[in-house]
Amino acid sequence: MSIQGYFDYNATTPVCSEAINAFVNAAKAFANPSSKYALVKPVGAFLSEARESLCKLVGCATDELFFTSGGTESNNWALKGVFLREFTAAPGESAHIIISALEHSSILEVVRYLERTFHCEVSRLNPDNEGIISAESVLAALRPNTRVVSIMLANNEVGSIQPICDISRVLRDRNIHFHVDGVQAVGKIKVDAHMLGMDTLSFSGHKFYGPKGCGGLYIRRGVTLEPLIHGGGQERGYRGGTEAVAMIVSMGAAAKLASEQLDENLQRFAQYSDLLRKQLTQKVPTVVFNGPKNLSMQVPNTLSICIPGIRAEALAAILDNLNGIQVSLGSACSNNKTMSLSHVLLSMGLTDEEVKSTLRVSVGLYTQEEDIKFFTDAVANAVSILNRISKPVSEDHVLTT
Amino acid sequence: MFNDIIVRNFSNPTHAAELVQSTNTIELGNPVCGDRIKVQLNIQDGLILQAAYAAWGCATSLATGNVFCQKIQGTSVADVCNLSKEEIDKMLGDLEPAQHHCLEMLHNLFAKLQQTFHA
Repeated sequence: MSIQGYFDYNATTPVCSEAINAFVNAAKAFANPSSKYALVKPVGAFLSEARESLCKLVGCATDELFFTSGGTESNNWALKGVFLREFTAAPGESAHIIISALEHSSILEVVRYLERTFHCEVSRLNPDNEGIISAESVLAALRPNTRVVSIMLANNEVGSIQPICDISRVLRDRNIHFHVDGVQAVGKIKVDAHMLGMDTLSFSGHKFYGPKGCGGLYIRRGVTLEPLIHGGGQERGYRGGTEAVAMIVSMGAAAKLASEQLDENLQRFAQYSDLLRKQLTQKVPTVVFNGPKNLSMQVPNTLSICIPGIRAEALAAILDNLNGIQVSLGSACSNNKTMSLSHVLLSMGLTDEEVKSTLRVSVGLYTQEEDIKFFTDAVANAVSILNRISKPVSEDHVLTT
Repeated sequence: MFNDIIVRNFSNPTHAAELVQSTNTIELGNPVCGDRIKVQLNIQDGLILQAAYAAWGCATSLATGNVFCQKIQGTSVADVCNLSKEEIDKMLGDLEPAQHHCLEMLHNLFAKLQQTFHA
């Protein structure tokens, strides 16, 4: 698989060689971590080392971090775990949940389930037109029975970084659980769970060059959640199931690398973002960038690009098939009857046509500076092909009888 | 994923053009996804001398316009009208469910051409 054309690092990342080597090494240590004989010692050491690396990346203590199968499980656990805790404590009371309209489906669908099954009240907050949820809007949405607020740290489509510290401050001392989906942030920007002040924070290994099927949940010391997966008492009794040792160790190796390279990567991706903006503006003057205008409020590896008049789905197809470039879309045909449009972009106030003209570009560890030119040249060429099809006015393309 | 027919036709659309002189125009769109195709024809004595199209939409719909024009250019309207449903079904190759609306558009293009001829 070619890496040069890969501009979809927010979807997933290639597994780094450190993580692959760690996986192979740890896979040889086959003992069940719950067993009591000496054979388990190296396995325990592997897991401890991985936990420490992840705690460093997330900014928490080792007793606050729990391994899961990934971001989706972590988000499910946080929301259902709090809800079940509250429901058990006050079974007759109707709980109110606040989420942002920007959230990933692993939050949106869980809340929809709680709403449908347990008749929870739900407020879905729209962001401003730059993709930011303000602490003031959270404060205004609070009700006496608000039990959970869930806001993502960084948005996957436009890269907007939410003011988590400010929201934490609003919720502190109100006995409201604050969950943060950190899947698109952990490993990409500096995250310090203690400083940010949330109660729970989810992350996923494959977003920072670790393996798929592995992630974790930070649970602030003193916060209790009902387990999502009951079983053999693993993860201090909070998450049943034999630990996926090799996967966890591999994710730990990726976390170690991410911590070590974070400053350098932030700087490099900011340069790439700047180059992308400049070159695209030069080669496709109509281009518009969605998301925060203040770039310190945006994950530097993410760029949401709108080219008015161009259908992004067609643009992406040309990039893929002619140039071997992969990007993500804000919209897609689903079938004959429906068109799926990005709920994130719609919540920011973009029109249907603007959403259809938007694609997401995300760079990463293996992106090189020369790849930016390769990408922007390819976009300019694809736009010219599409303009030729939709606006056939050039003399070269006019047929005469 | 796109099959080879679709890739070839949207990446190198040989009939994406505007006719200076045309005798007939066919236009249609899909109100759900917003795909639009406009085909210009130059028909003389029942023979389609030229077919050109403009389109806005997903890659498959862009390819659909080209496949349609390629098929009918140089053919008599009578022969086009005699194409069977099965023949039209095969023109875009194997499609994924999300691309099936384009086959519907292709059938509609042929139906509109027939209507034009019989009008």
